[in-house]
Amino acid sequence: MRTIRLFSKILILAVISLTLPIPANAIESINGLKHNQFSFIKIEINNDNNAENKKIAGAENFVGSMAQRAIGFLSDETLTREQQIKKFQKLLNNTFDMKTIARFSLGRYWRTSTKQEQQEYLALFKDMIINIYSERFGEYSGQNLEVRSARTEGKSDTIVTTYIVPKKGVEIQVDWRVRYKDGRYKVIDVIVEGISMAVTQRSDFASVIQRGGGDVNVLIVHLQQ
Amino acid sequence: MLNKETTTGKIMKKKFSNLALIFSASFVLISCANTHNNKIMAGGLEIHDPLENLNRGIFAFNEVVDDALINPIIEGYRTVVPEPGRRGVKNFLRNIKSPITFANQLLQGDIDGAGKVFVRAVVNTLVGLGGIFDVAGYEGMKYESEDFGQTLGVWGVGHGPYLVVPFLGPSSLRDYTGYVVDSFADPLRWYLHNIDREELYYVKLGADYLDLRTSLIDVLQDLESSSIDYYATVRSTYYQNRDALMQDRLSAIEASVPAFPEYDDNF
Repeated sequence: MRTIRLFSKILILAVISLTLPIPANAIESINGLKHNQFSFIKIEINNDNNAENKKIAGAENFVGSMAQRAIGFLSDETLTREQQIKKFQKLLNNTFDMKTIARFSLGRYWRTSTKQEQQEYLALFKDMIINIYSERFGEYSGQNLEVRSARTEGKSDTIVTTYIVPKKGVEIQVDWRVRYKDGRYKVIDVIVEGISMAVTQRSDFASVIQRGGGDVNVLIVHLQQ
Repeated sequence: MLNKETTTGKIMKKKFSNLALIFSASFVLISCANTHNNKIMAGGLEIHDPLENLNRGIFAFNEVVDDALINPIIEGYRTVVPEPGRRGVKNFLRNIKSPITFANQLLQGDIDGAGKVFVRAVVNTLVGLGGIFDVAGYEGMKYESEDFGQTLGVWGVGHGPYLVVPFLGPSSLRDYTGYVVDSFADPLRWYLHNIDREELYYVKLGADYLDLRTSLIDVLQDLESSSIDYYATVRSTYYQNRDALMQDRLSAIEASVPAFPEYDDNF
């Protein structure tokens, strides 16, 4: 008797859950998934041998060779720590589009600042980025960077998806937003596990400026410290 | 015996009605919150922080607690338990959360994802010694974090206000609601409740917290040292991280990245 009652309860629950209105978004997401699979195939076929594919491959190579160069001197034991950092800074300067990152990070306050403020900010921003990244990558301990996929984003950007693969432990997904400009590839954003360095920087700066009464100089003073 | 069961049933029913109350109340709050207009737009992120001053105060308090209490505990944990052991703990905690993950995948309409959770749970429980080893993950079936906060997000519910809670840290009203719903809907809690060992569930929640904070400690230290306004930086990364988690069911092609305008070079 009790088992029958239990079963009938489960049955009723199942019927109720089936008749529950499924939210529109959920249906959309199912459709989106299907659609997505097809569009993926389409892209694969359509882009064969066209310029877009070349650009993607170019961006992949760019990120791959940048990583190889960095790993090359970071694991070179004949170099001193200072030499490694020097080389790393040079690499950053050559491969990151500092001007674009700086401008994005300042957001709407770029337009409200004077030419002089912009120049001052730009120089300080560059130093800050180089310091932060030198510190981050200075802790190098034999990880490898594997380029796994890439896709176009907007008119001139490519997102190159890579994974930092440590000797032991968990992989970390790092997406590089690479912009093709004047015949050269440059990194304009680094997205670590879904967190964009540029967006984070921008939120930080925006808050500092807002709390300082909307004055860019408040940020500049902070960057000087 | 029968009598005890009915009382348990009554308690459960009461719990559910409480839950429903919390739930509907939060929804009302969320929808109210969304009508306010003091939103901060930061690089495509919509951040709503009407309680910023209070939140900053609690954030500062949490930093003190972190320095005095949480971080020393984490350091101790990291010293006593080496990385493979900590991975085992993480895997085990993820495995016993499978019913909740499974339910949320279904509620999000992600049938494939739900199937994956099911296979992962079976494989890891049987082959991975009760979930200590993530065998399925090793075979390419990676863990995906799901919770009711994400489910609400998929259903189109906004974050509502950003909240920093003493000891627990930053989240949003939506995500804290999701957290409460998940913990009350967890079959493990029902089970422990029925055998009168509900306190073990709080041990589990504590372990979850320790595990989460341990995996965040390096990231947070990096954020603190590389930012000017640490509060704003954490807030931004919180929203970005939640966005990224919600997009895990999309392929790399569909996942959105923030808009990044093209600038004239003569600026």
